[in-house]
Amino acid sequence: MRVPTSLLLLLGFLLTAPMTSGQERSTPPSTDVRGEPMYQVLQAGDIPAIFDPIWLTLDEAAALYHDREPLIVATVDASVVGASTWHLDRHEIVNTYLNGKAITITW
Amino acid sequence: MYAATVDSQRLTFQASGALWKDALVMEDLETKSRWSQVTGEAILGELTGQHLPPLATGHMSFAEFRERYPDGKVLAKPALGPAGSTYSRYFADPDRLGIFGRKNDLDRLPAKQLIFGLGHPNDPVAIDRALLRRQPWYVHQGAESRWLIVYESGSEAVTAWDITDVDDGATVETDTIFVGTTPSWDASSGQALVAGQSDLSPAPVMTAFWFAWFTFFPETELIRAD
Repeated sequence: MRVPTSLLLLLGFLLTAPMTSGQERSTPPSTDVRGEPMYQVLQAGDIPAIFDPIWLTLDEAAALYHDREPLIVATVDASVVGASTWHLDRHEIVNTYLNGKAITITW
Repeated sequence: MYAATVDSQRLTFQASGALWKDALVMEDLETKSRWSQVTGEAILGELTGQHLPPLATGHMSFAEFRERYPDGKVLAKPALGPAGSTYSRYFADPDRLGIFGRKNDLDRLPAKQLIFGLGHPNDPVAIDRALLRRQPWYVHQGAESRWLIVYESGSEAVTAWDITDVDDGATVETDTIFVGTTPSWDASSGQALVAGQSDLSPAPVMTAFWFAWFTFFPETELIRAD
C-alpha cells in the first residue's frame, strides 16, 4: 500500500507506545497554540532529520529501491528529486538544495 | 515541501518532537521557531507568522519516476529492505485517527478516505481520490487559480498543473493535455508540445487523510466521487 499522508507523521510515538483501537493514552505535556494543544511527545531531534543527503542517479539507486516504492517528488525549475516515503517515515525531514535553492522535504 | 528561506535567511529543520492537530511540527535550528508542516507557517517562536513558500510536489512510484525523469535523482537510503511503511497498521485501521483518538465527526467522507489537497491555505480544496480512480483527471477552478490534477492509478502518480492562464476546455487523453483539439502538453511532464508555448508549472499537491485535511482546513471545498 502506498504511504498515504504527510499529515499524520511523527507517529514514531505510536511505534514506541503502541495503542489498540479504543484505548486511551496518557497525555503528554502540551502548549496551547491558537486554541489547539501542541503536544510534546518526543524530544526535538529524536527523529533524525537528514542534513547532508546523498542523491543517486537512477542507475545507482536501482538496487536500493523497489519498483513500487512510493516517492515524494520535488521540482524546482527543471530539476527533480524523489525520496522514498518508506525511508522518510524514519526521518520526516530532508534539508537540501535543489537547483541552487534551499529546500526542505517534509513527510 | 517548502523553500527553506525566509527574508534571505536559510533555515534548516528538524522534527520538533511535537504534534499540533495530529501533524508534524518542525523546528528550525537557527531560531528554534516551530513550524506547521502542513501549512508551512511558523506557529511559535521568533518567526511566528512567517510562511515558507510551498514547492511543487508530486507522488509516484520509483518505477514511474524512472520513466518520467530519467535524469532525476533519488535520495540514498539503506539497501533494499522489506517493502512497506512503518505505519501500515495505523494507515489500515479506520478507527485510529491521530495519536489521541481524534473523533470522526465528519459526515462528508469517511475519516481515512484519501484526498488530494490543493490551494492551501487561502483556497483549499480536497479532491477525493476515489473520483480520480474513476476518471484520471479533473479540472478545478479555485478563487484565483485553476488546476488540472492528473492521476495514474497504476503507479498512483498524482500531479497538479497550474492552468490558470490556459483557456477553458483543457482535457486529457492518453497522457496528453489538449486545448480544444490541439495536443498542447505532455500530461506527465508538463512539457509543451506546441512550439513557442511555455511548459506547464506544477502546483503543490498534498496527499492526506480526509479527517487530517479537514482538521487544518475546515472551510475546505470537497470534490467527491459521487
